[in-house]
Amino acid sequence: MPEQLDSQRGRSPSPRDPSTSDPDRWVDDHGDALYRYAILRLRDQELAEEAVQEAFVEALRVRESFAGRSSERTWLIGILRHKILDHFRRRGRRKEESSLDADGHADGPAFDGRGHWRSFPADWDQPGRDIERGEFWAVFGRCLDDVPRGLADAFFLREMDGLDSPSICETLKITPANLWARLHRARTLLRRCLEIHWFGAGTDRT
Amino acid sequence: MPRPRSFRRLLFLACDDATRLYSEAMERRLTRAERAALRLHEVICLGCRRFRRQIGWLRRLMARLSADLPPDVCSVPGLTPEAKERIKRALKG
Repeated sequence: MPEQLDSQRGRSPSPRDPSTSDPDRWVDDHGDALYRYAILRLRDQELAEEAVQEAFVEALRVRESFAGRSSERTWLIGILRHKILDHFRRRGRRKEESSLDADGHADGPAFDGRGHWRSFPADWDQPGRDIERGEFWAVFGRCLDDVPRGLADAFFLREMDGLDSPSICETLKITPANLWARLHRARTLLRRCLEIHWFGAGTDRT
Repeated sequence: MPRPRSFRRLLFLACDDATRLYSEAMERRLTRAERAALRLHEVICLGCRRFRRQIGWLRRLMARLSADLPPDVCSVPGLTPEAKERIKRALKG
């Protein structure tokens, strides 16, 4: 039930049915959240605004199909996600992504020439404990922004949209081996970034 | 990454190859030889055990972002007033 979802999230107490509610209110209630989602994915103000607008227009067109199974916000984000996917499909592979090696590292390569850890992974004691705090998400957001774009696009499609390998390869016009390499690089960079900036183990070298 | 890998390379798996395989295990079914090599490597390498746990945790963390973003993830507050007006006009047709 939408009521339950929204009261859990502490948002508007009486979620209205979008099939009858005022689209102007959608923009006031959800515009900022949709924009933040779009900017994380697209990293460009103009593209993000465009995607949000397209999502709202599409929502207006299909509002009768809102089934009330999710909250209005979740429904809108779902539509926005499809618009973002359309953007990647239209664009295909970016030229500058042809070389993965050009992408940066958080603090140099993770391994030495013999394949051993340069910075040994620290023990993240109960990592889930503090993540309800806003500071964690701010740090995590900065780490996500630092992941080079070509890696981040693939990583978000995989981990936020939950697409499988064939769909992502088709969307980004890359091979499975290239996709796996991108995902691995993204995970490695994010892991290291969190370790340095959140778990405070940046100086721990063995 | 070279595949199929030689028996020798798998038997003496280095940490960079091991972490790559942990990532790939989230995307494809590893071969029996690769799984055996990882099990062996895991016994001796605490760092790679941690790596595997941590990227698994990262996946669960990312899944939480898919339905709605915690506001703090993003450094920008939201749409500009002008953009909101533009979108509202577009919605009116």
